[in-house]
Amino acid sequence: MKGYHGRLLEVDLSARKITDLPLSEEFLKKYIGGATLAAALVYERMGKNGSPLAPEKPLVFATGPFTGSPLPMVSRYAVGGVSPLTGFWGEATSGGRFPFRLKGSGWDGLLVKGKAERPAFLYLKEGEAELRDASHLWGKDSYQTQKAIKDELKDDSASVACIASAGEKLIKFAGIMNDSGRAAGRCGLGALMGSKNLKAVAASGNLRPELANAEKVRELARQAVATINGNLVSVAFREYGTMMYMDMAMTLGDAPAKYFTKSIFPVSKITGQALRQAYTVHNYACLGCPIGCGRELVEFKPGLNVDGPEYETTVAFGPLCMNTDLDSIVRANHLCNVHGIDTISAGVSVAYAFYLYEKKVLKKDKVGFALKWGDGKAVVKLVEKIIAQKGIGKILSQGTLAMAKEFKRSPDEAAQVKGLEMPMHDSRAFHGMAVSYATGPRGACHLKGDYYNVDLGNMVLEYMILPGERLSSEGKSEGAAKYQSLKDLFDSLTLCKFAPLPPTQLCEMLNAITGWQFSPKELLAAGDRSINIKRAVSNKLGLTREQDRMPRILTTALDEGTAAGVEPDLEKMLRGYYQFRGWDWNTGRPTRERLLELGLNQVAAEMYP
Amino acid sequence: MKIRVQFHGVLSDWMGGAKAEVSLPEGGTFGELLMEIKKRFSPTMPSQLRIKDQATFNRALWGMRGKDRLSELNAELKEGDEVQFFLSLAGG
Repeated sequence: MKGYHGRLLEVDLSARKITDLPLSEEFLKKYIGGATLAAALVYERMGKNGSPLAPEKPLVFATGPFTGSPLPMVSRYAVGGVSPLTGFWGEATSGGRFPFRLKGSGWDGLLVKGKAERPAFLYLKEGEAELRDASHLWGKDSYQTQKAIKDELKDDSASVACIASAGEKLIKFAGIMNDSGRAAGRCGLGALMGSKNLKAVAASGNLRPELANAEKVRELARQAVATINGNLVSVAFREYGTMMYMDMAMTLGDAPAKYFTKSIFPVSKITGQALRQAYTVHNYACLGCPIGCGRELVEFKPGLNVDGPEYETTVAFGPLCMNTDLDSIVRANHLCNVHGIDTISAGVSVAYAFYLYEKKVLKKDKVGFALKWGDGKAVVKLVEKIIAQKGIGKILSQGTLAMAKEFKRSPDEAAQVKGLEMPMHDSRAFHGMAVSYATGPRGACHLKGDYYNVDLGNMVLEYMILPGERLSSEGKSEGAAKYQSLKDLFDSLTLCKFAPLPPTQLCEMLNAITGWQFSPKELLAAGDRSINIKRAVSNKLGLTREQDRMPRILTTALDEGTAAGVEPDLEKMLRGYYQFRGWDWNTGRPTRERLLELGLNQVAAEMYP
Repeated sequence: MKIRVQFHGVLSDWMGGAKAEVSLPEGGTFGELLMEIKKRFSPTMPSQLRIKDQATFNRALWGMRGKDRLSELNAELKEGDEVQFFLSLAGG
């Protein structure tokens, strides 16, 4: 087998037992790696019932065939399991150095089950793995934990993925942090890790699987670097990171404001340029990335460097709360990094609190202070309350769907899909996003697929995914489904979604690494399979078509900006999407025929006994 | 005629400022405006923004007049028009 170690580390925390879980080439060819591989394993092992935090529920960390290879932008890993936030399939990905080290430790990833009697952390190094006590680390924040573990191991090359207080307290949108402020943030998988008393995973080493055609891989790496450097997006991201998009986002009505009810705000105060003018900004690059879209603010306060913020976070704690105080946005982001919290779910929940306050549902005595739109200090205070699990913070930390229930509001007011909070790309500005969000494998996800990029002009000719009129719901279903499958594959391979590489190039890379013979058509089928295995996990957990919807607050026509006056026609797009996917309109499940076509025979047998 | 031009985001760095005024003959078009911008600001633009030997730019460069995107090169401009330029690059 080439390109893989062909094994995961299987850890039973209850029994303190560590074994190898062999992965066959047939299995890997079907599920590739990363989040897809995680979904296939979770499907097999999750059982039918029980809380997402039940000890037997598996938590999978997985790299892909690209990870650790000479290719650029491939130091990525995925975490997968049943989401404590949504109750359905949950996944999150992150970059940095950890993925490279995880693969270099001699495994393709790890599967964790059970619950440790006392807090523990795992140390993987070049074929050796041990479970170590983490009692002394419990309570430490994400930065302290990473440093303490490296010091304890006396291993400077080790990289650490860990939880902080949010994961320990089982906050439903707790994330997993690695390499300072990199986050596998979404779906609350930090809480799943916390429920297992697993504080961290430290990985070290340089064990690289053999490549099928090493010379070809190096040549493809050179070509990819040239493609990436020749692409305008790389130049722009290098300059200002993802905040580069801020002006354009507001002009297009893509950046939501005032809890998804507005789209105009004083954008010049929170652009990438404003950030650079206000602070000393350094670029951060994941290992092997020629772009470096990450930001580090040097001496944000005396002696304190902080990571980020990125576009999503800036909008969530910014215009979504009508807040343009950059300092408070940076502070809120830093708090989330330190305590291991998903900034999107946190920001949307905070913005919902402002909305409820304006509606006089939330009162000052309940909050402890006034919530006036635009008050940056109040934004930070609410984040602090979430972290401390005090007062209103405890309610906010359940997410918007639970907040709506708590305050007896319509679920149509909760800005989420399947319980996962809405990211900062508005489907009223790009109608194709509505069907992407409604059907996203983990809930409201702007990455799978980022269809706004298609209607901005980024076509994929091999799959005939072509740009269209952004404010129209016509002809979007098939393109959205294909693009979702393609972008889902990025998390299988594993490759950064900012890598502007076409499917033909991806196939060449995969084939040179593994020795397989994937065509672009087969690659897309692998993406379809990935979407379907994740769907099968969620179907097993009770998902139906009822959950493939967007709440009204996210689709009601805006009254300002360039996207004003139009609403996406979700049902129309959804029908086309179901037809293309081969999903049953009545049950929300893949049809038996579709599952068999994709080689998901076991799933078909269980779903249609 | 005078056309007011505004460059947003990173474009303002590359064009040496957020605002500019461009003179075009009466009845000048969006394509002519692009040519003029290319002529005037080329030295400071990254090569990825330009398409060599053509009047046009990388398709990620969007010009907007009011709420409407100017997607046709032969779109006629008029005195006092303000054209806002953005990069249609998104992510994150």
